[in-house]
Amino acid sequence: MTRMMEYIGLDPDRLMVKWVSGSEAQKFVDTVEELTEKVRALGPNRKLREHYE
Amino acid sequence: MNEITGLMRKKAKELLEKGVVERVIGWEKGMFFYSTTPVVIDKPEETEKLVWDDFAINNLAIYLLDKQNKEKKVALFVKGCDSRGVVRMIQDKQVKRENLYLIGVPCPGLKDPKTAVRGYYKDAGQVPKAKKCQECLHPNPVLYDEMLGSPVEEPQQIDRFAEVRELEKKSTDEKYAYWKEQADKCLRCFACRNICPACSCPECIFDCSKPRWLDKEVSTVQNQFFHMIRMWHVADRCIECGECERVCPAGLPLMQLNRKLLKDINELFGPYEAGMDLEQRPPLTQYDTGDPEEFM
Repeated sequence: MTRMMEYIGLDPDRLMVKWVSGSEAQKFVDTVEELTEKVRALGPNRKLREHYE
Repeated sequence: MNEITGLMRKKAKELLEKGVVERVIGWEKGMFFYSTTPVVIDKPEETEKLVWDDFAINNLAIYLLDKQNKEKKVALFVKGCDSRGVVRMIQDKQVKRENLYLIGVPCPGLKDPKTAVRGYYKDAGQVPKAKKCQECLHPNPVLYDEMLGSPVEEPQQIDRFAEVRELEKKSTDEKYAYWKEQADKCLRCFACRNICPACSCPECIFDCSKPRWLDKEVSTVQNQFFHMIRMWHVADRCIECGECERVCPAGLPLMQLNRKLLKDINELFGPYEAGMDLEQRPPLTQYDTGDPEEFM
């Protein structure tokens, strides 16, 4: 999936796939925060969005 | 080639007369020298229509998915690419092997009628080989009950991922611009989906209205999503027959998408070509504890 995103010209850093069980609340929170931080650093996505192009 | 046409007619007639099959699918001659279209024959006297020439390029495997052909005993003429399509369909349990009588035709590499028209060629000899045939690695049928003529030599020196490698070298933004430009041309006519022997769902995700996975509106962005979804849906089932690219009226380089996924599959799961062997399952339909987990 990440390889394909790169091929299409998208940023693979915007994708995260992680296995989190229903009982792992803290892991879920950490995962969401981690991704949010990553995406915030990348800034808003302008690709594949009609209104910005 | 004419010799094979003769053999084809004789064989088809025999099969229909003896009642071995109820239907024969082959090619017939159209109005122009470059038009050879698929034909479905039910009666022995109609077998005179059958031909085999430079333009019998259509992959016939797709017609097996038609409801009326699924329940009948059908004889099918298969080139290398057609036979791989049939193997894939048998593996997916779309058709039953015992309902099929496959007549193999070794393929010398055929010509694209579109090239013949656009190049204003006057006869078949001048028309260059079709792109999909230039890239073909397996011109001989892989699965057949009987073969007409003798097998042709299989090319060895073709790098099927050359185009993909070339494109991968570009920067992210260049690649995005390239694919955006391609998606811009797409008419969303669904010809690529309809001709594909790997697309076998009776109800396609793109036709589904609840939920509507893809907008009906034909816009660049929606087209980009369309092609991304399509490439994933045929990922490890693509037999690289190149029919999608051949029928595309807008000339989109669709094989560059299909081959990208195949290249990744080859790198991650080892050498793989779809539809070569009835016993080999496509890597994405099975699970192994040793499977790579690149981004998990």
